[in-house]
Parts: sequence; C-alpha cells; structure tokens
Amino acid sequence: MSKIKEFFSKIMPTKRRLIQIYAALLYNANIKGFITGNIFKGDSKSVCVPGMNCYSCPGAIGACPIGSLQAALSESGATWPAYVLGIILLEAVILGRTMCGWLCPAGLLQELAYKIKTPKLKKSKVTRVLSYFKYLLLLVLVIGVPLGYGIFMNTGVPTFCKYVCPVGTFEASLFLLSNPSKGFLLDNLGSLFTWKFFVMVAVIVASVFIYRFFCRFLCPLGALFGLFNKFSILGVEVIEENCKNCGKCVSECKMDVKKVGDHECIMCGECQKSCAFHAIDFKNILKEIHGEKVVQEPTDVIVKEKKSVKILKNIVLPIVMIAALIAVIVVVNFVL
Amino acid sequence: MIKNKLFNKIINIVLAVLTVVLGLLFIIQAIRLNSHYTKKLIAKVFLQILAIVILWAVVFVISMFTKSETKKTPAKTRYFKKIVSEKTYFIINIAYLVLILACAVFTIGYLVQKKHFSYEYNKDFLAFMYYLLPFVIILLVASLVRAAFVTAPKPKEAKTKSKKERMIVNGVRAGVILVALTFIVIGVLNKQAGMVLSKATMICLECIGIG
Repeated sequence: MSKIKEFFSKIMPTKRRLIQIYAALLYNANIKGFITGNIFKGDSKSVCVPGMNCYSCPGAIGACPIGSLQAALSESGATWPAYVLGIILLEAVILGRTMCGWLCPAGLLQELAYKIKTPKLKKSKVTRVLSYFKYLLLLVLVIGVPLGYGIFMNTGVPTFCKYVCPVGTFEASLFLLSNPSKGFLLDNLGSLFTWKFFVMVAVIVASVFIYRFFCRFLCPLGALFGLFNKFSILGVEVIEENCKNCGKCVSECKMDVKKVGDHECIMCGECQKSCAFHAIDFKNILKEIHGEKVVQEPTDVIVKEKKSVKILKNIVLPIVMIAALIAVIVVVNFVL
Repeated sequence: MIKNKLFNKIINIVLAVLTVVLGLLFIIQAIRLNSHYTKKLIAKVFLQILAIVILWAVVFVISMFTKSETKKTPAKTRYFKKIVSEKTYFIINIAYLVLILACAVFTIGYLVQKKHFSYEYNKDFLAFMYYLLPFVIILLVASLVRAAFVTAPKPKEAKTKSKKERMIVNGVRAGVILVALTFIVIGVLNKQAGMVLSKATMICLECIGIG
C-alpha cells in the first residue's frame, strides 16, 4: 500500500502543473475545432487571454494579447489602441509574470520538453544578457514596426507573429495543415512557412536543453508583464524579516533572476522549497492594504488555518473549477 | 527503475544527440520541401526520417525508466563574483545606458521615416533587419563584456518595506487599474472590442506563416 502511495506521489503533478493544464484546456476549449479545422467565432474572442495562445488555433476561445496588440497598433493611423492596451495593463497589474509560471500554455509545453532526460544547459551571465533580447523584440517587432506601418501605410503587419512566433506555427499552422478539410492551405506554403517551421523546431529543441528557452529570450509578452512584477497583485515576495541573504533562492532558480520577484521571475514559487528560513511566500494583498507586516506565522497557526480551509481548498474549489471547465467546453462546443 | 549510473548517463547523452539530430533533420527536410508542399512530398520526406523518429521514441521511453541525477547547485549567488566599487559600477552603467539609448535613437530614427515603409513588407523588413543588425551586435558584445568583467557590488542587507513604500506600491496598483479600466471603457465605446473580435475570428494566414 505504501509503495502504491509512493508511486502515485511521484507521478502526481504539482498544483502548479494542474493549473497550467487547466488554463491550457480552458484557453483551447473549442475541441470540435481540432476535428473540423474551423476556428471559434464566439464573442469571447474579443478578450485577450493572459498567455501566449494563438487566436488562429482551432481550439482557442480567446484572443492572443500580442497578436491583438500588433493588430491594434496597425490601426494607429485611424485610432489609438485603448482597448487592447487596457486589457493588457489590467492583466499585467493583476498577474505580473505569474501568467508565465502558472497560466501560459507555451510555458507548459516548454516545461514538459525540459523534462526529457538529457544533459541541461544552466543559466549563466551569458543567458542573463540574452534574456534582454526579448525586450528588443517587444520594442521593435511588436511595437515599432506595426506602429510604423499603421501610421504611414494604414495597414497591418503583425511582424512578431509573421516572422518569429513559434506558438502560432505550433498551435495553428500544424493543426490546420494536418486537418483534411484544410488541405488547400498547403498550396499557400512557401519560404515563410519554412522559416517559421525552422524557428519552431529550433525553439522546441532548445527547450529540451534550456529551461523555458522561448520565455527567457524571445517572449515579448513575458517582457511586458515582467515590467509589472513589482506592482503585481499576485506573485511571490521575500519576507525580509526572515531573509538571511544566503542567495540560495537565486542560485536554485532556473530563470535569469537577480532576486526573487524581479522582472525575470515567473512567480512559480519553486524557490519556497529551497528557502530554509521560510523567507519566500506568495503575496497577500489584504495584509498589504491593511498595512500589516507580512511575517511567517508560527507553524501551529498555519496548521489551524489549513484545517479550517482544507475542505474548501482541496475538495470544493477543484470540483467548482472542473465543473466550470466542463461547462465552458459544453457551451463552446455544443451550444454556441 | 534502472539504477546503473553509467547506463543512465549514456542514455541521456544518446537522447540529447538524437534530439538535436532529429531537429536538424526536420529543418533540412523542410528546406528541401521549400515552396513545394504537397501531401505526397510531405509524406515522402517524413518517411525518410521515420527510422530516426522511431529510434528517438525508443530511447525516450527507455530514458523514462532511468533515474535522473539532479545536481544541486551550491548555495551561492552566481552574479557577485568580481565585485567592483559602487562608483565604477555607476560609471559603467551610465556608459552602457548611453550606448543603449544611442542604438534606440538610431532605430527610432529609422522607424519614423515614411520612406522606409512600402507595401512590399518582406523587402522592407529585410532592409530593416540589415540596418538593425550592427546595433544588435554592438549591444550584444557590450552586454557580454559588461557581464563578463564587471559585477555589481554586493547588495545591501534587505530592508523591511516601510509603510510608505507599501502605500506607493498600492497607489501605483490602483492607478494602473484605474487607467486600464478607463482604456477598456474608451475602447469599448469606440467599438475596438469588435475590431479585436473580427481579427481573432478569422484565420490570420500571415500570422501563422501560411500566407
């Protein structure tokens, strides 16, 4: 019995992984789209989801924030992109890069690729320098060029999506091209697809050896949300009263962080396990608003709290979440 | 679970090599297909690498039964090895910032000129990339040199966030949320939600590399 328990505890995914899978399913709830090859056309697509999830993917029920931002900037000649900027700002200030660590389907895929047992390339000063490359992509390909075309030519050129984004190639192109009903799309393929296929394969292979290769070096959404990490409502923070500045959290983190919660931190909370002084915890907005010091409570208080909310946390909440997911899938696939 | 260390190591290395080889083969086959994508040809080129795919899958399955050795990184900060004085660090950072700003000014200078934009997007984009390349290289080299030879002085002991600091953070949060909500309302009133919807409900062939 104990062996069975041990086996299940080993293969059982963590809470974070379950939430990542949940988010990936929720963002791609239009399952019939994968079979028919037709993309979802419901009103929910006017809202950008927090995460890299291509809106041309047959399963997607929401819009991609980066694609929408480029499209909106391309309209800058006529109108300024208030709506998309508003949604991105709102998501960024609530989530910060918690979005990357907990919700993004692209992040989930990369983490799964990294699980393949091969020798790994660890972070270094070079990777830290390269991590700034995504800011260049954000400024030039996501903002600069689409804005230029929008103002001068009144036309949209989604440069990042067109020339770089491997998420679109993986989620949209491959699923659409492999669908028999969309066979005619093969006639359109040319050197652009070859380039994008090259980028996609390179990112997947690199993700096997380098932790979250795309997120660390290429993702403009992560770059944008990272700027809000300090002010985000959700995320992790250091309880400075308990911190001994040992630096273990930074050295054990696989991202290019300089300190917990900086612009490179994806708020996964893995560093909590490595901290012997209980100096890392998830942010508590209520305590911050009331001006209380966020200090680690004594163990017995935590146990008491856990007992009182145990049923809610471990039984009620998962049931409600699964029911909500099933409801969304049913509505998207059979009602709308 | 296979516990032989040498066997595990060999399997891991073989899997790594096969992953790289497989990636390269996929890319080479795609280049060979360039502009001639038909169902028949795709099937043909895929069949040519099927043996490697199967081999990779077999090694992958074997690797799942090996015990991974996770070497724990020693508890030390990686970024504080060669410490320079605060003054030197400040001067270097200013110089670095000036370099970044100079590159940004040249890039923005290019982007604000109408003559660089035409309906031949691919040609324009390529020209822009050629223009941008030297700046990227300069910045990359400068960043690597800075990272290799200069290290920040050790940070001072972390201080507890004061009530004032917390108030500032909460104020910024509230301000950004307010601005975001205002933007959303303005956008909805200007029917921009419909624009996003119309974009998202059509397959953007250009975005996914097909068009």
